[in-house]
Amino acid sequence: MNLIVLILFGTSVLLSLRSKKAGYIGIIVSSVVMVILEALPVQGTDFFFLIAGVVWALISWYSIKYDTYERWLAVLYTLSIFGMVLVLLSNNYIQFLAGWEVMSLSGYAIIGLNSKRAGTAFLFSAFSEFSTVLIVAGFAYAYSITGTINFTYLGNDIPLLLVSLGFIIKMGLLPFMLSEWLPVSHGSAPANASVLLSATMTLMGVYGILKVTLLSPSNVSLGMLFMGIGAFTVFFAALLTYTAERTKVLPGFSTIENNGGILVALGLVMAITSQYERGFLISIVLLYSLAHSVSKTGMFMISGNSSETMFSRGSSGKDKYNQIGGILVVSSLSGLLPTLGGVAVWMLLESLFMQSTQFQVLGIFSIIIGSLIALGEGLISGAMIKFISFTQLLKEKRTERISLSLPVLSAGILVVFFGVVSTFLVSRPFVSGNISLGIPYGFMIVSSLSPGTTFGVLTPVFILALISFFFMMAVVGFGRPILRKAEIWNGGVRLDSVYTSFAYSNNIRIMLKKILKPFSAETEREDGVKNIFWDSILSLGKFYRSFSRFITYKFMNSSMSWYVAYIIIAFVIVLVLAVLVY
Amino acid sequence: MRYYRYGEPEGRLIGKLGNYDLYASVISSASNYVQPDQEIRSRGEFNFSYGPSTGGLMESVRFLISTPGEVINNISAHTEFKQRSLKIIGNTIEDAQLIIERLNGFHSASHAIAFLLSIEDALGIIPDDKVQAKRIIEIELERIRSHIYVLSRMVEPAGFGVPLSFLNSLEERVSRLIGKYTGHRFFFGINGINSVNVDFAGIYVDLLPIADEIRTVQESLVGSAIFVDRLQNNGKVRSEKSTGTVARSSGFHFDARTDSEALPYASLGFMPVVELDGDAYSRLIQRINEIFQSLEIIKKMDTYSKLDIKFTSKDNSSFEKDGKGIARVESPAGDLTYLVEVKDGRIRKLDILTPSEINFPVFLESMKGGVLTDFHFNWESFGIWISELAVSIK
Repeated sequence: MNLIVLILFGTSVLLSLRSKKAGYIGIIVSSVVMVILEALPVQGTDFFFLIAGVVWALISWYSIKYDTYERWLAVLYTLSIFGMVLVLLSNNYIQFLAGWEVMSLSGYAIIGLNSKRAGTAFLFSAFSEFSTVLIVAGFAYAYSITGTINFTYLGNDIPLLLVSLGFIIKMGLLPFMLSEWLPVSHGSAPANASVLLSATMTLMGVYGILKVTLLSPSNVSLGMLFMGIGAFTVFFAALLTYTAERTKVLPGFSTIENNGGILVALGLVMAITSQYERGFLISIVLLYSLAHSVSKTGMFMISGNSSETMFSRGSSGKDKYNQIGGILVVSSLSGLLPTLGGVAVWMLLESLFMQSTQFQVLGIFSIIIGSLIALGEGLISGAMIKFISFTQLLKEKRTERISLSLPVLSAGILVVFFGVVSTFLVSRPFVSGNISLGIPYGFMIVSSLSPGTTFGVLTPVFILALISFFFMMAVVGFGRPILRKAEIWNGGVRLDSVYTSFAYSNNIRIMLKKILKPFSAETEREDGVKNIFWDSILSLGKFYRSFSRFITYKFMNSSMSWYVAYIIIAFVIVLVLAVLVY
Repeated sequence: MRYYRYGEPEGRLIGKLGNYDLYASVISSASNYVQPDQEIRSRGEFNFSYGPSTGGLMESVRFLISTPGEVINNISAHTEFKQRSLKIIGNTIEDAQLIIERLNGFHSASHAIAFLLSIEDALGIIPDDKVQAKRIIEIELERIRSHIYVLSRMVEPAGFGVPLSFLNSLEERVSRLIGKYTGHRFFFGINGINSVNVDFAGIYVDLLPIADEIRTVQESLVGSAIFVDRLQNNGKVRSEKSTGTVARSSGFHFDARTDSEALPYASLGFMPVVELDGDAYSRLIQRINEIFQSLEIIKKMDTYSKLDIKFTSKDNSSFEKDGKGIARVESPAGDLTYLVEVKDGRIRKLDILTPSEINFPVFLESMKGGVLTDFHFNWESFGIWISELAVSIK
């Protein structure tokens, strides 16, 4: 079955060389086949086939009309997907790395060919390769302790630490820092490629961490480390999502924020020893990933449907399907029920609450983590309102382009659909019902720490039913809402003010001025804030360049003797390290 | 001109009066002041129009606020919505006074007295001490009421219903007291050349209960951390171009009661009180302090009247019919100056420099860098009247 899927996706790459449209249709067909063959019935890490398949089918449908670029885009797009399929199907480290690099190099080429600034692609490449180096190191260490290149149980946490650090870099995260390479580089690609990079390439990172976590022994310290990194990222990425001014940079920061949330769930998986609890936590990772991927697909498609790159500029109009779909996907990203994002956030916060009742170090830590996530979610809700308002709702004229907006509507419907049927995607021990409340078995998610106990319950279908019921009641009781349009009163003078997205988020700039340092001479950025983490990374990069230049001119200035000395010293160091390690 | 002379700039610059720069005791040729270019745009900035006809503003004025959201980068104001063109030139003094009294009804006494003092100066009339004493009582009564009103306006944006109603009732009581003694709540028709047709004897006793209640309000307001927080560091300004309460709340001892001889405050040993911080809170405290200072002044004048001191009556039998005069008084808002030219008993020329004109640019400057939610508190704390700004004399 693996081979069939690989052949199908490989054929799509070849088709794209001939015709862009054929390539995209090939991906749609291949994705559907992949979901049927690999994802159903949905269980464990096979879930990632479902996520990837849904996103690829959606975005390829969108790309058929959207792709007005030269042929290279479709080829690289399909090639990148082929790389991801390799990652998902891999049974050993070599296959995984091969797929990983095909995916990364295609992404690099897409950004390089599209971006007006050469540095953007290098930025993407630098972080991609840094990620690869850590993953290779982790896999090499895993090989050294197991003697096999196949994914197999590891009796040691060090490979997990190394590969997780590598994967989180690919997900746009850095330990207790906030890197901007992801929003900058993902935002520089065409919209369909942005989805690929932001929704599914980062998904591969989640897949990688989960895969290695399930093969590693649990470790509370390691789990807490990644929970800390995740929560820290959620809060600071949410801040920059809120202040972002570009239509594709905001979703980029939102990706980092979402991945931070997923990393918290992954950290819990690493920390918890109980297989029962792990089942619930793995479900969170999977549902959160699905929610993020589908919502982010919708978001980037809306960005692609806008002619402008900045929220406050441009003249593109609104579209009915974009509006409905957009409201649904941002609701999901805001963690609102009954969308899938709401279910995932509820499950994550519920897990942290459950841990906080255990009165251990992890319990206290969970309270702090939960507070940071709650803060981040609040900011994200504001950011999502900003996104949908300034890309759609506040637009005055209409420009209906159904072929481009129907995929957005579909993404919106899917996040609601998956939210409602999420009980069928959650690990079975955590699904129940309550006949006395009219909820049949299979429609209620139950959070619990041990079998037979109940901590909290959620019934997405019940919430949808209630919303629908009250909506219908309102319609029946009051009829269709009567809309009255009144001329805006602007103090008695002509209305000539245009509210800006920058102004929308300026409250946070002012309230958190000690962190964001707005309006200072250094904040020449479009979002008007200062990211001290990114600035320090850039300073480190500049220092490293100066240092390298110094070494190059001073010691490696085409001098054969220095070069030989360098090789000998490097060889000795490697030898010493090898002896020390073994 | 008894109070002023033409000459080189000297002492405190008060403002631009007609074609002249007005100093404490000198009027000089006007300097060329160029309005700085304010068209600097920052990221995400847009113009927010506040007014001219909207809630929160008592008079018609449009503020055009350049903001990138919350913070005010720049602000300009348009007062033309209330612009009035008053036909005064060519009128008799009595007819002119009818209009002057109504130029800013709330500060009617100050305007009428400044106008009459400038007329008297032009005609060479030296007003009687008793008339001058009554004029001081009028202006101080007006100051008490005006300051109470400004306090109420400052409380209103905080949504403090109880102190707002309390202050409104106090203002009403002062107005009724003025009405009881003068026959008109806004002093209309009581002032004339070298005459004030009022007997203020006993007014201080009537004011005492009001004074006690102002203390109560003061204690409740400064005891509210929420309210104080909205005022402290809001609209902080220290400008030599300011006047009145605004200047005195930022450490300047500017006060026409000490550096103008038009009214004999010097004989009372008057010294202005000052605050130092120059923010809206300082202006609030300054106004409260000035209310009590005005009460002290009224007390002294009331005591004089009870002692039945013989006020000097000047010999004004041979006053001129033509002339040029200037007089400056400390209205509740600050320096108020009238420059008149009289010919054949009619007004030939009239220039007015109002405190609102002086303080308005200072307010606009103080608002830069502030946030929109602080706007109301700061605006009201300045006690500016658009009616004093949007007026031209013809």
